[in-house]
Amino acid sequence: MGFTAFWPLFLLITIPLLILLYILKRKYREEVFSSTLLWSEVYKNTRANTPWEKFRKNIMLLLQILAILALIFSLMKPFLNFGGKSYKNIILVIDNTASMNITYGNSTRLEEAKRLAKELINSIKEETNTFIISYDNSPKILQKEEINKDKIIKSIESIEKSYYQGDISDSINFIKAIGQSIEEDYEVILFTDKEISLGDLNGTVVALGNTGLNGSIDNISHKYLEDKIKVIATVTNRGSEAYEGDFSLYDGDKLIAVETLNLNVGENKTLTFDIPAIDNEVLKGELSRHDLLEEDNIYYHVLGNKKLNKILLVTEQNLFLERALSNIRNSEVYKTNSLSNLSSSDNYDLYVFDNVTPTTMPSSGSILFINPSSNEYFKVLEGGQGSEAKAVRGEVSNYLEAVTFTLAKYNEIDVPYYGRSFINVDEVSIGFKGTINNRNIAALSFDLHNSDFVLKKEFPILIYELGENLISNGMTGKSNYKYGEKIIVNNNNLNSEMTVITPNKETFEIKSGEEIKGKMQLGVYKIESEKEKELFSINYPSESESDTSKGSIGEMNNKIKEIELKKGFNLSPIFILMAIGIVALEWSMYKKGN
Amino acid sequence: MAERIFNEDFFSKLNKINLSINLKLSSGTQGGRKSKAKGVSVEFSDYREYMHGDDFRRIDWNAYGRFDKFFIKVFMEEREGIFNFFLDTSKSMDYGKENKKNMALKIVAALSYVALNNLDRVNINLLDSGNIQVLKEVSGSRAFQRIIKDLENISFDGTTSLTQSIRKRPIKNKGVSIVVSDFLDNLGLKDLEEALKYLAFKKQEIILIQVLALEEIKPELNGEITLIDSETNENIKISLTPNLIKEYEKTLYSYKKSIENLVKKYNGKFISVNSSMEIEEVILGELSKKRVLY
Repeated sequence: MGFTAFWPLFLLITIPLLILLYILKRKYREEVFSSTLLWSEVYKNTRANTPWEKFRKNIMLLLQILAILALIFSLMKPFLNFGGKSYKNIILVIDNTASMNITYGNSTRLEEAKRLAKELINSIKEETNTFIISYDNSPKILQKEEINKDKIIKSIESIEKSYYQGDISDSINFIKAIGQSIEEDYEVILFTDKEISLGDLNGTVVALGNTGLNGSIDNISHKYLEDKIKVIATVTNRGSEAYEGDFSLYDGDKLIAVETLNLNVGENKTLTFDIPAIDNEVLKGELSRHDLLEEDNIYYHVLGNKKLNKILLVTEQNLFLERALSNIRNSEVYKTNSLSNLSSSDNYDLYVFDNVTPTTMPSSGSILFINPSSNEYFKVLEGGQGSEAKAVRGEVSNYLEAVTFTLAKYNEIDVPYYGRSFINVDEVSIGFKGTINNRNIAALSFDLHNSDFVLKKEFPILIYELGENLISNGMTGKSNYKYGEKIIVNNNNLNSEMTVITPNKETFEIKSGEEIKGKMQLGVYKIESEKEKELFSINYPSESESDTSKGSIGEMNNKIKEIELKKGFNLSPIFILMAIGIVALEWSMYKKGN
Repeated sequence: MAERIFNEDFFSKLNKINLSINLKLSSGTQGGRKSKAKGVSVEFSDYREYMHGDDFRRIDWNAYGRFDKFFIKVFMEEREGIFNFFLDTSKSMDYGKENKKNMALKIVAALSYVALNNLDRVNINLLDSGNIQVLKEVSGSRAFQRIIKDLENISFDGTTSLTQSIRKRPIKNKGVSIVVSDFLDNLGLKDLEEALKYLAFKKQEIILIQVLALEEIKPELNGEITLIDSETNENIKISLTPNLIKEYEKTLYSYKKSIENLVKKYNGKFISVNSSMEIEEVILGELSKKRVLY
């Protein structure tokens, strides 16, 4: 027999209190009686059977103590160990992806999982090696081969909610690997609300899926038309019952539109709003109806000024270049093999001329020349042969500073006044970048076919960096993220620090090229550099983490699992019944007048 | 005294009682009572044949003339009865909402009244802490007022020690001894028997009248109680439960039974009355039932 909770033990203090109460109560009232002759007779008779009589005197007290004890025991949730094999090693996996924040009873799925896990830990044998793994979008080992239950429980309690999206099935291999390292029998107990099959793993899934009302805003986007702004919002009923409620659209704090929703189970609706003007940078969508998950009822949409960048690559079959350019964020690469396809009405953000130099330059957009001839922006001189090229320190990112590559043949660039060289052969520049008339110009004065550069890992990095430099992409690639998406901050000035302000008004510093990591919040972030300010939003990943339409998403019924989990038969109801029985007995004895 | 014991109500009841009873008499000197014994009086009873030793002056010569045989006229003898009342005046008698002492006094007074009306003699003895106090012996119906006066002035105090007290009373003649008490004598039944023996030896017809208060018959006590004896101040700590009360009632019943058995041995009668009863109910009901009065 074991106990799940020990806190009710402090209630034992009520027993001495009860006894004290009895002692205090046993104050003899004085009563004058004509003669005590007969009473002493009675007294003698009752004292004749002393032990039982003494007991009878206090039987009410004893019964009360027993009732209290039974209640305390029932609160301690005792269980009987029988049946079921207990393992020497237990791997507890707790899913803490976003969907575990869905309300479950009075708490959340995650809290319920933690509670069950703690109950389980309390019920397992001492000396059981326990592993605790949490899974948000990747498995994390919180406790390894620990036998100290306090420590284990602490680490269970330390699991915090997150808004990552993830499928816990991805962790199966990880768990298997840990299991193999144990080299003994082990049992896996996995708490999740997602569908998962343990395969050949020995273990149980505690399914915490519950059903209920839940609507989510999946996306808000906008489009500038001639005289108005079109806002599109996508709302889905992800719950198990019909959803009725309101969708409100805010411009900053100002309510600008409301629409009533009637969604069947699983129904998805796209709402369109035509708005003459927006004052703020952020639109907020909100579902007013309270449901199982509040986080997906709000969606922040930062309007930003980002558009898709178009890159035109003029080349004859340079696949390396094409690949490298396609890495540039937020951009689309168009390809042509002849200058004759260019027209003056073209409006690309970046032109890449590989081994060709147009006679008439495009009227707008940045230009990257590769192996050009002299043109209106710079002069190309005769270069040399068979040399080694090196990056210029301080002009490229850390990733590129160590790069060297061999050139069979190259030209020399006469770096213009607005440009700075970033690749040299000896003292001769073979690559530069600069800005003139608000146009970014860069050039590499060698044919990529005449070098081994394209074979090096630094090549795509260089092209990426050049691309990012040449087309302004802002500090973050886009304005609206789902939680868990990678957010890399970029700034033209490589070494400058930027300040990130979280929705809770906390700030931290970050450098260009770094990823914003750590515990993120849902809401609108602000990022500030010396020259620029930018907003971006992080929203709840409702597409994968808002489902409340299926009850036990896992394999098994919750209730059964819960009992099995505790490794034994729950004795609480028996103790409660006992307490009721004792109280009833006491009542009947009281009625009989004992 | 809040209320006079012997009020108008009591007297009207007394008259009623007197009309409906006749005290049984067995012995005593000549008085206003018809005795079962035959003797010298004016009231003719029967004839019988002369026997040797009879007073030849009582031979009916007219009968001799007719039958040629000596006959003697037998007359109803009238005797004076002697009633000895022993009244327990211990503290325990002063108890109860319907006070026991009131009932005891009423019983003594009522029976005295009946006796005096029958031209019997009445002795009232007060038993107190092993002593005896004898009120003046009276006879004649006029003496009743004096008895009443004396009875009203009795104080109930001290302890019960019936035997010790009774034995201090010298009794010369045959008579009726009526002991009015609660018989809650801490010395027990053995001691009581001594008193009965003494009375029986003195040729007394013994009548024990026990007066109990309702509180003693059906105690309405509960919980943890220290019971203090009103006479001795002894105390008993007891936690009273209904079961214990039942036990008490059983004990009381068997105590009464054993007094009754004891007194039967000496050809006496035992009557237990409740202080909340009406006096005529006691005299006409309880006492008649036991054939003390008829």
